[in-house]
Amino acid sequence: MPAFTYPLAWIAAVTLPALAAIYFLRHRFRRHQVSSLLLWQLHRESREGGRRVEKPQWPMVFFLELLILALLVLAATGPRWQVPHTTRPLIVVLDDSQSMLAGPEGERPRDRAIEKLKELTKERRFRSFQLIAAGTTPRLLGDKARHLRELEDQFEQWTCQAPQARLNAALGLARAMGHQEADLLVLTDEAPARSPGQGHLRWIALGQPRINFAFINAARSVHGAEDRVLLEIANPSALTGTNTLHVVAGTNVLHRETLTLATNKTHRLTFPIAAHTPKLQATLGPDALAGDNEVHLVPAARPLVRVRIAIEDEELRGLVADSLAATGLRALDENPPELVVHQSDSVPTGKEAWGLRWLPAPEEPERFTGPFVMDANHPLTRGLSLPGIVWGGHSGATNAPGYRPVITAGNVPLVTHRPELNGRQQLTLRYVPNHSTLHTTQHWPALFWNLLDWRAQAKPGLREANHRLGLDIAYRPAHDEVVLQKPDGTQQTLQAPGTEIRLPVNLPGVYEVHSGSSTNRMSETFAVNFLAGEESNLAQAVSGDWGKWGTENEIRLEYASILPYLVLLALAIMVWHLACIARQGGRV
Amino acid sequence: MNYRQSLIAGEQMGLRYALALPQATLAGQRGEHLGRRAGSSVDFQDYRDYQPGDDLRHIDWNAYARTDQLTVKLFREEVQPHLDLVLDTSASMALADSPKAQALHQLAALFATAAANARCSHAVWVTGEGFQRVANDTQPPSAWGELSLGGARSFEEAHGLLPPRLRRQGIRIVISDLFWPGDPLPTLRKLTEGAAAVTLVQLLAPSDLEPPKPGNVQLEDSETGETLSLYIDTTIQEQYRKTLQRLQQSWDHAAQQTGAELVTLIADNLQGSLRSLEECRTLEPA
Repeated sequence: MPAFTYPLAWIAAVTLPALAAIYFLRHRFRRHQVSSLLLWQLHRESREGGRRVEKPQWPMVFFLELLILALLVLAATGPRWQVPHTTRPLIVVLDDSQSMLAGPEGERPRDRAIEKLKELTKERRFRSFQLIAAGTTPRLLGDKARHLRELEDQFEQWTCQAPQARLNAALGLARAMGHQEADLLVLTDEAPARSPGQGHLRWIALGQPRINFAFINAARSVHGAEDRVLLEIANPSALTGTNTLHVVAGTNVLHRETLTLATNKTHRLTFPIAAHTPKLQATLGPDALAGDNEVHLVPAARPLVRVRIAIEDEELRGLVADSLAATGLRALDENPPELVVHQSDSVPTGKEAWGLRWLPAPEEPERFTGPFVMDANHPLTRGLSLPGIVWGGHSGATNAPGYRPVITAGNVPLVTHRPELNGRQQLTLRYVPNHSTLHTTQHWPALFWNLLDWRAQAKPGLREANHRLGLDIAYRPAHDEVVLQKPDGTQQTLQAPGTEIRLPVNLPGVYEVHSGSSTNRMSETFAVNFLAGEESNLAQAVSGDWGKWGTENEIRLEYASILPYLVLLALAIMVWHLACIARQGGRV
Repeated sequence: MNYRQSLIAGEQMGLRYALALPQATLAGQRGEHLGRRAGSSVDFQDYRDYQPGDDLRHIDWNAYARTDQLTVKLFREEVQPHLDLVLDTSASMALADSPKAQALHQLAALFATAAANARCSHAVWVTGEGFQRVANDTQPPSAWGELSLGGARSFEEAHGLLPPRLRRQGIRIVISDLFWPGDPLPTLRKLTEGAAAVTLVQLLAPSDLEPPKPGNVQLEDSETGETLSLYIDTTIQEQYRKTLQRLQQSWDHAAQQTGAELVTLIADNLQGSLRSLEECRTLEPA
């Protein structure tokens, strides 16, 4: 039974009798008296003799126009027709994790999965194909395809570089796209948590347990004036294995070691390295999975803050300088300042200068012993606690307009904060050292470390230099256009309308990121390493087939739009109509 | 315009013309034109031997004195030529929405006036239940009785019932649309038999020349009332024109065989068509 999307369009059908009326009035028989039918005798005799077919009284173009109008009216109603479908669409969830590349070429689960898919399509017909890669986040590999051969380009994008495969999330997406209609297929190297049984889902695992050594942890962090390197290698295989570890920096071999590890044992290696040592590369010998046999560690990021101390009181100035020096985050240079510690009424100039205004001590300061109330979510109070300290401040003080309290003693604001629209932050501090004990505790440098770290995090660039694949890499650009140079040599230009973006990183290796104008270009190098112990654990890889699809020939009636066919048919008849008119010399 | 006004208009048109007379074959009552036979005019024609009964006043006594033979002088006969106007007054000549009937009246009056200008007598015959004379047809056209158009009989049928009594050696002018079924030759032979000259004037309406425009048309025969429903397109229009052409060719062929002249006139442009009558020497300027 047909259904109509816009049944009111049937009103347009009044054009049909209108057209008939026009033709009737135009083509009805005109009476015409002639002197004699003698000259028409030929036609009369022919008709009576039945040898000649008399032309229809309604010309052909009338019927064509009637048909065109009827088709257009029908098309305007948006007709849909119930048509039987004997095949289902197939949505394939492909495990996009690195473990799908384990093994020699041709025997990798990825290769076997493609072969398996081709094999399945020979056994069973599908209406269409849709591929979803299940990595850290599920992603569509392309548009829906009618034939499997159209998917070759999409298979190219199935790179299997993800540190984990979130198959359940991808299956959720597939089910939403399939509308309870599509057959679902999971091609992976792991067993399902629960066998799917009879229905729409079929789960095929094509993995194989293999011995595999892997880096599961790698870090290069700031350790005073130098960097400290941590490497952790695991053997998550079912058997004891041996492998070799090489650590090189450029052409210098820093470490070489033969590792023999029992099942599920790890080996941790830490060593210091000069901060100026360039990129460091650690490799393991070839094994089943190549992706986890190499890590790169670039020098750790040392974000330092240029601080200017604009305090005239020598004693207080010294206290501030010592406090800043204790954090290790203060740059030697102070121009242009990124943080100004001052006592003036006005905020510091400079679009990058944050301000910490140390309010002058009152003549009769009050000693607060608590309770101190802190904004726990504020960057300044991270890890800070004030038990048993004395804070000398201003009795009866209130916070200035626009400033919100960060630390208070009762209702007396001690530290306040006012963010500005251009991103600068202005802070006030009421602290009288002579009447306080906070600066004699470990919490004092912690407070200043929080302040400088907060300021450093707000600077353009990366926060860390070495990252784990699969985690977000935040970047504060110096310009609204960012160029990302990837390990495979490709470049990607990103638009950064906000103050911070997430860099699209999906391959392990060393990246470069550039932003800023040509005169003030900021370039940074960072490393992304495949460090996923779960994924490197090939002992869990299995082969198997779980779940069954329903019968192929299940017939369903679905509403399908027939509008394009109607319009095409109307166009074809219009062409025929034009041909008829042209043949008759333009007369209807 | 009624028939009388048409006749008067035709009479006025005819004042400019005179009927062209074929000298060689003229015959008629005594009149002002020289006939082909011997007569009583002053023009000497020939001699012949005297025969009893000849007028003694025509004996050439000088010749008798010389030859001792009675010889009679023959003089040219003086005759008055006669025009028989044979009009097809069947219903087709009164075709609705056409100037055919008006043109018929004007043409008849024109020829009668032209005949009078040529000092010819004339008679007017019309079709009906046989051929009949028009009342007062020997008088000027404005005095004629009504030419009753719309007769159910065709020209051929009327001729078969009662043919016109046409004067021998007279001039005959037939005005008709010539839409007669069958071979025109037998009827034309009868019309031309014993005539000094015969002119066939085919008078056609514009609608006789051009078929109706394309579309559904119910054709009605003006004489029989018979109808024919047709869808007319360019092909049928072309066929109609070819059929009309064949009909005219058959008449032209028959006219050549019988020595008649065929002239086709268009009813709505009568004035302009008269030149063709001069060209075929039926009329000449008065």
